[in-house]
Amino acid sequence: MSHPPILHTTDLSIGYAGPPAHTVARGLQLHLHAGELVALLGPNGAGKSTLIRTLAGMQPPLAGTVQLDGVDLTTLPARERARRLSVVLTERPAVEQLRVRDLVALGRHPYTDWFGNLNAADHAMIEQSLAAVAALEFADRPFHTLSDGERQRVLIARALAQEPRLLILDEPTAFLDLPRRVSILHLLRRLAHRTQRAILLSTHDLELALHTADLLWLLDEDGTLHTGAPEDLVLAGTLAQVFARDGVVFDTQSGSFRSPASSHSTAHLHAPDVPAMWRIWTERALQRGGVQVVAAQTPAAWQITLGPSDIAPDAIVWWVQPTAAPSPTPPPPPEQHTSLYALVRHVTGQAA
Amino acid sequence: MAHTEFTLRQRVWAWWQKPSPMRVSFTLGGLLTILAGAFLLSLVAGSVSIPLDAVLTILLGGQAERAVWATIVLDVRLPRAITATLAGAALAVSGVQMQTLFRNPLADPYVLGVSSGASLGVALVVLGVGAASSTALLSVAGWLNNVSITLAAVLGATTVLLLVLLVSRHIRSTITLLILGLMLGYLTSAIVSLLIAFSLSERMQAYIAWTFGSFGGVTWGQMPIFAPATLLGLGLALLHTKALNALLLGEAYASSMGLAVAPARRGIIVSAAVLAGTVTAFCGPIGFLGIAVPHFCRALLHTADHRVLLPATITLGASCALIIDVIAQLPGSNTVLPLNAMLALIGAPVVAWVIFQRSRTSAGL
Repeated sequence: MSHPPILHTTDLSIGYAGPPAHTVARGLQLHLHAGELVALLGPNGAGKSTLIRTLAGMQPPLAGTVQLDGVDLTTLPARERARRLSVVLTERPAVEQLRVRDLVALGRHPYTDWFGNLNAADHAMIEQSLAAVAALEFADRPFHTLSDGERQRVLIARALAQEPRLLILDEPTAFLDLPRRVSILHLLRRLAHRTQRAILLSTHDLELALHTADLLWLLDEDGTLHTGAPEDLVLAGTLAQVFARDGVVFDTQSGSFRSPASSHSTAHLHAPDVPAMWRIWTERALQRGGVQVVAAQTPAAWQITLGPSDIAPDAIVWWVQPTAAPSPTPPPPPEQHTSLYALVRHVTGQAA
Repeated sequence: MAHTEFTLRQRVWAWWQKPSPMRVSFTLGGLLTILAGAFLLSLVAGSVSIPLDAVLTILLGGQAERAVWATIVLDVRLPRAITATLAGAALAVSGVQMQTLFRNPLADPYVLGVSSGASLGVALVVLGVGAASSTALLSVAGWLNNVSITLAAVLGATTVLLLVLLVSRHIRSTITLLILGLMLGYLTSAIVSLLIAFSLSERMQAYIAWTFGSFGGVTWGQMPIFAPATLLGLGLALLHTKALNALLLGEAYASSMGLAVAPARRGIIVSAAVLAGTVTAFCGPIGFLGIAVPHFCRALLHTADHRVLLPATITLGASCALIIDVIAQLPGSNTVLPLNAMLALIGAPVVAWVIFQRSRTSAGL
């Protein structure tokens, strides 16, 4: 590595000194590099928050050291630490009558004089931080009137106003809806890459983290930490293994979670003249309904064919019929469905 | 030219909503003017109305038309006005400090039981050790007694604040804090009742009169204790302006921004206890100023920034205390209304308004 890491740990043990004493994880050797977005993932109760709090200096390590820019975090004066490391916490601060710009200005705390007076450089940094999260348009509004997504962006701007080398966020997407979660994570990735900061965030959004993070830290329930690019951890099977206990299956093909398959029926799927996308989504729908798509040589209960409709050649429809059984009665003619919903209801026996 | 379609009222409102340093200076200037006016009013108005020019002549050392006016202004109304100014500022500032420290919009010395703690300290000294009978509890006690009563009140206030702080760190609920304050109030009353049962009836009368609250009890002889103590508390509060701002987002954020939280919290608590304790010792337990004034100021200035909020609460708190004291004396009559009753009449609706506002903005309690 050409540059030394911004943060690294040596034989770090985290947990609570108690009583009762409780070690969450031990022997951690972690590195955070400039320009990287790292997502900390793990099942609930694995100790993500404890690790976050320890790395942010909010909780002392049980053993080992955390070094920020080569200096031990526990010996770094609070003001110096605040100039290198800032946080966005899970708790949602409830402040009234505080304008967004004034809230972001609080981030200048480690740079201002005893009274908190802001000079031109402080004001410039506040505007820059607001611009970085696209919050300038509501900078004059009171914080408590903002939506959850806007508030989160403002809290990130406040953290940026501290001009940190390392930004640590504890579950920044917890209260947000899906589009907001995507935009926050993309914003963080942009910030990490463009401003050459290290950004560490903990999240439950595994699928989102797989798409956005440069590096995953996967904290197992037994305190083991697996690190690697998301794709490394998928290919090595680590991801599937760590989350296996939660009763869900990580599908390495699609990179998403699903409930364990419980197929009770099978089908042959013919889709010669349609785009591949149609075949993939048909398989997904059938799988959810408990129907496994099998190869042509394997016997199957249903015969499903995808193709253009007779009536409207632009539309794609599904024909379904039971496969020929060794019985004297001839199989019923194929039935046509115009939606996957109807098809799945048909093959799962709900249409009758 | 779309903007010409706005009415004048709308444009004034828009200007008022738009934050600007000019508006802050304008508002602070206005508050200072109101304070000066309220101060002069409290010298002019009373059971005897004294013309403003006569008051100014007396203040400047000249001779008024009637000799008795000089006595009234200099020996009665001036110390009373100074007391109200300092007490109002002190209570309002300690209210701001507690609201920020506990992150609780309903916190103030009275609600959290800090005044009760101070009262208990006073009751222990007065009913236990003993002072002569007087409606102005401290006026006849010796200088040393004044100091000991003040110290007892500050100690009582500090004890309660530390207790509340301890609880608030484990229980984040506003309701719990308020109930705790209420219980401390009951507890104080119970102990005071027990003390009363064993004390002389004239001391009891003095104590009860003291609980009504009054700015009229501080004589020139006591001013050298009262004024420096409150000014010290206010100075200490101003020294913690930056810390209070950092604490707006809670202790975890404050610490992450480089604030040494423990010493800052200590300083703020000491300052709040000195302010609330001193005022309680000399003026009785006074409610509502501490909770209402900070909310007025935030709404007026649209800011929670303590660099603006503290000066604003000092001036507005002093003005409110002066004006309500004038009203309570029913100018032109010889009747004096209990100060606390007047404050509750004005303050209770403000607290109700705060609760409604919060439930509307879904901030919840």
